[in-house]
Amino acid sequence: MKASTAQRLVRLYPLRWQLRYGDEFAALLEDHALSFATVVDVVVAACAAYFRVFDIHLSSPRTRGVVLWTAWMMALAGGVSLFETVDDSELARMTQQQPWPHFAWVGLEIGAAIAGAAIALSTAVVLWSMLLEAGSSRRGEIFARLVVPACMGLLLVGWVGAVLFATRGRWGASPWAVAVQRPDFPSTVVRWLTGFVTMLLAVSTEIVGTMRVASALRDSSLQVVRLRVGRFGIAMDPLRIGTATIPVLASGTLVMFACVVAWGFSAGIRTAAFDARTGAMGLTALTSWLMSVILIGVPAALMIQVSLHTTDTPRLS
Amino acid sequence: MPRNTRYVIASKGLADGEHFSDPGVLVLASLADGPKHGYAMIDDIEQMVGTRLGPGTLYGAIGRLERDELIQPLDAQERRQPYRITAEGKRVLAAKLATLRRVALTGLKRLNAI
Repeated sequence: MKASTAQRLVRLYPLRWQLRYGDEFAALLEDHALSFATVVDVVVAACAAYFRVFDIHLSSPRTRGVVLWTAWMMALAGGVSLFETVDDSELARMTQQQPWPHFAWVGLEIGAAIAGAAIALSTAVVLWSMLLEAGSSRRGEIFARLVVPACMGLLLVGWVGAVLFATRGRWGASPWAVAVQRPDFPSTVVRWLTGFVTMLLAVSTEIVGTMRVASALRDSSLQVVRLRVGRFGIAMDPLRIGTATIPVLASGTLVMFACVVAWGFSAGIRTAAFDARTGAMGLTALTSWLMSVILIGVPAALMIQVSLHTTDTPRLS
Repeated sequence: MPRNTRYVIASKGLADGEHFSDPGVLVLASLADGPKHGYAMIDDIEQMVGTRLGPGTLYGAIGRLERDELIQPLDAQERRQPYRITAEGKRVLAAKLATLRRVALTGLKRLNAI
């Protein structure tokens, strides 16, 4: 194949791999005829190379924390999206009335509660440690990184509150309800505009929150938090607590994923809820469900991967 | 721990889930009679087992084997990079082939007994 084509294929690999093997691999590719089989072989091998880089990086507790936080934020987005799609719709009534969708939904809530408790515990200790470090070591940049997503969250809540106030509590600017027509809702244009702004703010908050917290996590020393109540003192190591909660978080998210899939299949097969013409919600809900399956399934896979790599007991750095 | 075949395979060598027909073993077997570069390995493996490895598959195996210090690069010849098997690589290959021979002999014996 041509040298330029070989170079394009080499660029599919992680940068570190390219630096080590790029030149000799390109020479080998140039000796091969360009064929579909060769391209597929290289693409699959390049994907595998990324997974190996991921494996190496997972040996660091901080990287594991960043991956888990990012994965959890994805799963949270998937869960919220599905909840908002189902909430106050025909699907909610169907879920209450039909046994299989009902069981799956309860399982989803249990999984979310387990995973949420695990992430809340580890996040609380890690955030506490980071804030203490920001205060005691005068590391303002850590504080700044944590404040930005909090401010964006407040802006989102403020926006929804303002829209509710302006419409006298009739319209909450929910992006999931923009297509719903009710006599007490505002006009279609207002619904779409306000819903779009809410979606924009929510997605920005989610992305900025993920990136800022991950960045602060990477740069913090994560010191032990000491809590003293009267004569009793507790020392909480963020890394140890974070590591201990990984299997719980992964299990909860896996339960969420299994139940989201089970709920969708039982709703779709047993009640034809997603049927475009006769179903409870039609293609919009089907799309939302599929998006939630991906947004929860990918984090579940990542968390299991992290859980399988977590065999060490982290020490303080 | 005794240095039996199981120990050698479990402790060091080819990636989890790799089997005897997998590229790692084929690359080690190809390098067993002397250093080779990528294209020569592909040709040699094709003659040995009738399978032509894709370039991505070959370099996936080379990366793993080099990381595990079972092979090592020699001085490059222009852009072609030859590799040679290390002493550890020979030990892992011998252990794997010994297991493979046992599997083959047992399987053949059982087939002949039918």
